[in-house]
Amino acid sequence: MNDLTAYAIRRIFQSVFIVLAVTILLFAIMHMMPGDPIQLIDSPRLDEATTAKLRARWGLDKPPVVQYLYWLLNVLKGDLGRSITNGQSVSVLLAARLPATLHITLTALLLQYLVAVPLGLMAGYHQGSVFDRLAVSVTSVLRAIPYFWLGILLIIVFAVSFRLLPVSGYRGFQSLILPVLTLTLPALADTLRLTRSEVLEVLREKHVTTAVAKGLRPQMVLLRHVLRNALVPVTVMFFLSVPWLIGGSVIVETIFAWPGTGRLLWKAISAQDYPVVQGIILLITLLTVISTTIGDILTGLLDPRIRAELGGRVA
Amino acid sequence: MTSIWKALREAGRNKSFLVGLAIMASLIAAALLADWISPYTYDEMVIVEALRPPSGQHWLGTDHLGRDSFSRLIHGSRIALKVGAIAVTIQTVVGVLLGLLAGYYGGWQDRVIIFLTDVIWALPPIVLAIAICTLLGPSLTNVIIAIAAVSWAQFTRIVRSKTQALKNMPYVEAARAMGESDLSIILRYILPNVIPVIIVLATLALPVAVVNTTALGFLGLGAQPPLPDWGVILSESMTYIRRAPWISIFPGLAIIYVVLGFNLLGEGLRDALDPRLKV
Repeated sequence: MNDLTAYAIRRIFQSVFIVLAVTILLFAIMHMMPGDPIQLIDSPRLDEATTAKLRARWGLDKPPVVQYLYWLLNVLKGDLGRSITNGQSVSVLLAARLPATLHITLTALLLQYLVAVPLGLMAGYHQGSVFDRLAVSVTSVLRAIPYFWLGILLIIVFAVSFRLLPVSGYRGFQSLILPVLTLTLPALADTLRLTRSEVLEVLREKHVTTAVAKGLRPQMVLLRHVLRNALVPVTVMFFLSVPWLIGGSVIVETIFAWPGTGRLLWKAISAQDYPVVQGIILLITLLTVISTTIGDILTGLLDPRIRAELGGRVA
Repeated sequence: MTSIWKALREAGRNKSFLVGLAIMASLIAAALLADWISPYTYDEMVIVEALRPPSGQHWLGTDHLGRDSFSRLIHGSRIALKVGAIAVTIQTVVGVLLGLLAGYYGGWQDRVIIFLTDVIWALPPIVLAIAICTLLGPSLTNVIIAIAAVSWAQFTRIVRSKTQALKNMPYVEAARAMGESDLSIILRYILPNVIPVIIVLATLALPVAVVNTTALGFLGLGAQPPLPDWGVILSESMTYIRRAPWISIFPGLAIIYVVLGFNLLGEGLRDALDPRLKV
């Protein structure tokens, strides 16, 4: 077994522990909430005996640790409990909402990389040019814009003033444009700047100078030496940026009335529907941990310097 | 500490640092002098003057209850700066303490603290902040707790790695050989060398805290109406976005002003204090 495999296995184990810790935290929080589901049944026909029977039936009379293990077992089977407000299964609710969220987040992620990486490469390669300076100033402004306000601004410009696009809702391609732009633009600025600074760093390295001195054509230098090295952090960032995107989608979905998990979270919070809140947070944790784990393992795979740090020798 | 003053003098020659400093000064002035600057109080309602566009009488127009938008915006800077400053102070103190502990002692202390930062990072910050505010209920105090709770880990990680490097320096080893206590070594030899990084991190953490405060206010989980929190103003303005779009524009510009100002200040400080720091 080589160092990288060992590192990957260690990293995956670590992620499992992190997710377990989050489930304990979530369960503890739910447990600390005032009142249990039985108390919420506010009925005059409910006497002491019935309450006790109901508690026993749902396992609420057991110690918290046993309750947690029951709950965890159910979660592993895909049963996240039922919504307090409408009695629907939380898993079914999530499964129904997840596609809409994936729709905007994945489109945003794809768009972000398709636009930002080539522009960042160009800006870095032609450092100090008009294009570079323009890219730097535009991205500085974009990075300072809070994304929820960007959403409002886009609504005012495109939906209210010019009436080009729908304000909100989930109706075909046109309604996708504003939420995706809101999610993409700030992240796009970050990715562009990252690509640019990585290119600048690689260009300063000796092997690039050597390649130029050897008389290699500029395009070949760019492809074989600059691109390959500069894209390592950018690729890793792809996975590490998923948490930010998911966080952003909660607010973007709220602004644009997009029927995804983020809006469901916001509605569940307003209605104090804790099982739904718990289910969504668990789902988001899982998505985040999976993507950051992939990002970390990829770093080891792609970057020989980090690979060397892992095992003390270059694989 | 003299090196910090030298670095600050150097930062004084940095143009972006000076612009950031001017922006920060103007914000603090607006927050302190809000009662004198704003022509109206933030909650004075004149229903007949509702939803007026910007004019000589109401520089930035009025909202749906006829309140003066400019006065609300100026008073809002108070909330943004106060919440931001308190949250950043808490996360700095907690993060630095844990970072020093993990970096200096290593061993199980290090493993527990690093695991805690990993658990915090298992959730997108804004989602964790939303969860905490849901649990504790909507109020500005809980916003401060939520923001500090999601942001200390970065301080811990960076201070930890700095401490790890510093504790093996010859002068620290010498102090240890002389029989100085751990506490004294940390306070006299390690902390002073970490302070420049902490200053940069805290400056750059403030705009993040302000954006998160307004985001929570926007979602109805932070400041509550009639408080003129910029996020609250934005969420109220959404209903009137067709009739009175100007109400939505200005709070956003105010947030950008804060973010740009503190980013310039933080980047200027970073270039002067610790150019190799990547944040």
